[in-house]
Amino acid sequence: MTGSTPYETAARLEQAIRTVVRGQDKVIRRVLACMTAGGHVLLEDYPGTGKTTLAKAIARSLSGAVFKRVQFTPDLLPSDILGISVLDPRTQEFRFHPGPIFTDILLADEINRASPRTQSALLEAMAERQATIEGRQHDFEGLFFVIATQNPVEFRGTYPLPEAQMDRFAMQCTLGYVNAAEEASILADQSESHPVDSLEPVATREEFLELMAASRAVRFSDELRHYVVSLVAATRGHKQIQLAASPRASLALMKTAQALSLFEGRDFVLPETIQEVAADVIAHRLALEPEARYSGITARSIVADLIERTPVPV
Amino acid sequence: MPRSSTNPPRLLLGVALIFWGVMTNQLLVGLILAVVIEAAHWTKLRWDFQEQAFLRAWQLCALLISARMVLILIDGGRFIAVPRLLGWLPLLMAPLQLTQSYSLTDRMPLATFSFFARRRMLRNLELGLPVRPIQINFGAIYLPLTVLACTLGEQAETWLFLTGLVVIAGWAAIAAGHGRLGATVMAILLAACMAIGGQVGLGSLYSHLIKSNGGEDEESTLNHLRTAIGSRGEVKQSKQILWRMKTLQGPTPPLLHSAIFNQYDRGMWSYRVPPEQFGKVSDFDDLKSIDAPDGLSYFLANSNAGPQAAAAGLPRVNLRGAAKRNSALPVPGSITALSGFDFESQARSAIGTIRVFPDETISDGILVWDGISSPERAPWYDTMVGKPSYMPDLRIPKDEAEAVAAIVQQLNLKALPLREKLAVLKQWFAANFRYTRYLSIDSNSPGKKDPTSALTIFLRKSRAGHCEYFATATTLIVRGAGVPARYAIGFAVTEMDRGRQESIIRGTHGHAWCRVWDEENQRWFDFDTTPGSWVAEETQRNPWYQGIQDWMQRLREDFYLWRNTPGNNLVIAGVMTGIGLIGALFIGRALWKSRRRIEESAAYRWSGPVIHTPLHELEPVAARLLGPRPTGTPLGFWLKGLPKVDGLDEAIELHQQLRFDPQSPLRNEDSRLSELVAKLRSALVELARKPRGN
Repeated sequence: MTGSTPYETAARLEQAIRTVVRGQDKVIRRVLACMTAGGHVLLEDYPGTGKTTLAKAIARSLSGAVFKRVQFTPDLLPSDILGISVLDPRTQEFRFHPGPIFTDILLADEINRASPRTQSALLEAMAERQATIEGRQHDFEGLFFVIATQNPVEFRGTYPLPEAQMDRFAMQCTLGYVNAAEEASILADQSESHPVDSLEPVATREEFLELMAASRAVRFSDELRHYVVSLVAATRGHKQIQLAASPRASLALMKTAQALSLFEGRDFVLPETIQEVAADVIAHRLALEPEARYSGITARSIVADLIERTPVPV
Repeated sequence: MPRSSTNPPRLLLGVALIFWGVMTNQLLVGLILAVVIEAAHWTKLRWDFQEQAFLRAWQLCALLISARMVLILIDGGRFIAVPRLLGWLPLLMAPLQLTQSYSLTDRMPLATFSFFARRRMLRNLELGLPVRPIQINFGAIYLPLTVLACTLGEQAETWLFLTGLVVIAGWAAIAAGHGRLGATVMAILLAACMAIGGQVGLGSLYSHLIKSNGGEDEESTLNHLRTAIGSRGEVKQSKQILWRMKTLQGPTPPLLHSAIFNQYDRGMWSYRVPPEQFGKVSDFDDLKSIDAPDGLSYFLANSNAGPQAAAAGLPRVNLRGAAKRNSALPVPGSITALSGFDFESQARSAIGTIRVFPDETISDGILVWDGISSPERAPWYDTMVGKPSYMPDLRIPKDEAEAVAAIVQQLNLKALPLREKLAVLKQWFAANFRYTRYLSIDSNSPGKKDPTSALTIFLRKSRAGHCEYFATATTLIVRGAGVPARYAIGFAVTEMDRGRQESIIRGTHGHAWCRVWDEENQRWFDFDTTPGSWVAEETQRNPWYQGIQDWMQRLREDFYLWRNTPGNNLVIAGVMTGIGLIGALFIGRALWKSRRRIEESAAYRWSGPVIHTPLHELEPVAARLLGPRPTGTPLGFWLKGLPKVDGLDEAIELHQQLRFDPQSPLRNEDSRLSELVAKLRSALVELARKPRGN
């Protein structure tokens, strides 16, 4: 497997995951692109649509990558994620037991079931790739990818994620229900065993790090950089938006578009690619005015409208 | 660049409005509206109109529509009110369309138009329930309204209208369609069918309304009148107030005649001039006008009369009502002069019908009468010596001659002096005849070879009928007794409004009687033999809403006259202009303060160099197949919507490399792309020519 180009690595990963998660080709590519761009992904959808399967499939397809999952529950504490120092009776010293956050891929399942306090434990790690625990700073090296899932906020027993936390996710995707034919093939796949259990790794951790480096090298013209900024800036001062998108959104949009271009086999970015991920990257960071929310307008529809209106470089 | 696809295609509304202007003879208004509305496509001036603004605009439109409706009704357009209002809709609804055109959003909530929908929405918002308002572009309503208004214009001949409509529909289809021939043809056909259907439908509805409301052609009733003599059914007349009469001085005239006829034949009265008088007697002579010492100008009913005909001491009444063009004015039998009416012309026939052409819907003026004279000419006697004379005022039709002669004989009328003749005759009718509104005499039943005339049946058998029977019989019997007589129709003055001190004349007061020649005094006078009970029968049946209807009509007429009085006219114009100006200033100030520009928020526009590739030149050609490219759609993505053309994908690829790859090796050597684009262009032109799907 050595000596393959970044594009081949990308294609292999994509192919492998498609065998497990059916009918979600576009989302798979976007989630992989986001991961390649070094961003974290929040998958929001109804129970049973394959969020956890997708996360697990990504983890299993990378060899040498450490995968941990945390099931978020209302009584989960920050120390359950970050780790805890325990008194060693033999040495009479406190020994640090690293929590699940020390990993390459972290699946934060049903993240919005934990209290905001616990959710916030992830803030520093997600933004700065480090954790400060009991005054000591722990750096993460190389890969650190959080893939969180959540049910829609209207569901029972959920806490909405704080805006600051939302902003740390590069992207929020929804899977949605697949069509009948695809659903039938899911049934067929799982008649004996779950295909995710038999998924073999298709890329090494090192190859993926190379892929990440290659994604950063994808060329991005100045004009398109301005386009990205104008898209994000259009959310500011918008009548129906209470909290607009941050410069972090522009950054995430650029990086994700770069990675996605790589997956599409191109070494420069097209405006189409930016538009494809814009709603995923921008919408979840917006807080709408109550009037807009009550009149049935969604953040995604606002972003779609902005894309339609903002003059695109042709 | 079109901001969004939900607006009607550019210029379509403008063309429709100009078309409307042409069809309704309001080209200037149409032109101004078209320019103002279409200018929105070329200026960047916009307002951030929200639901509230749309609501206000709609309320303004509703206000304008109501005001226009009131004006139309006051002007007396009862049957044409709806078509006339529809014809004005493009102008009345313009505020809403302007709000839409100059709004930053291209849709307005449908709930704008419904009070209840708005209430429900607000309540849902209060309760925190999700609300999904339906959003529409008002242009989609305004365009059909404008087209509908075109069908009702004065110039709306079917063929002209059809042509215009086909042009508009074609324009719409071409602008919206993507070269779809079938859809375009369908749209044009549909529009044409609707145009013809709509016009025919509206036309027949209009004539039906006019007919069913008794708005018959007045002109014909001046020369002939088809009576109900010999038909079956019940005499039906409208309860509507036709005239109001105020006695200013002297007594109140009991009868007002509108038309007078002198020849009877089988249920039909008509106005005939004896053949030897042809050329000597004109149908109608214009009335002569004089200026009386009291400062008023009078039209004299008898052109031979002097100023004494308008003497200050004579009885006079004020008459107010809706006179139609070319119709007979109801006047007392001994009318001497009229004054104060706003008539374009007034004329009197030789036998006394006064015909008027009113300028205004409601006429109001003074009638002067003396009770002792009559303006019409003396009866025609035999002037053609030696030839069989024709004397219309003494003529008895053959059908009735026998019955009439028998009665004359029986009452011995010929021998009596005039006064006694009439007294005997009146007594005879009162004693032997009965008034009824139910018509039972039928002379029109088919199959009878030589039917007895209805009038003879009335005289001999049934002895019951309505005023037309009485008046016709009286006229013929008086003629039989050797006295010239004519038949008059008009109104009996029987209803008095004590509160207002005025007489009310309704359709049900319509009456017929006889005018008899008094040789001694050289004048005609009214002679009515209908039993007095007819008045009681007429007034019995008043519907419950009659009072309201009368009140409305009185108000309408009085307001109309008040409005058209020169002084008030100016006051109204001043007040209305003032209100309009204040409103316009208020709206203008609010608009000036809240004006915005399109794309103000998109401040981050790339101002650096833009690479131009040959593919850009393909956009206008492709737009013919795809419609204009939306602002937010990248060129490459948009072009992929084209039908399969060789080399397109490669050209897009090259374009994208040139355009978006900062390190593209292709820079400056785009000859391959130019070559491809040239080929593609001709292929696309070819495609645009033939319909899609081939």
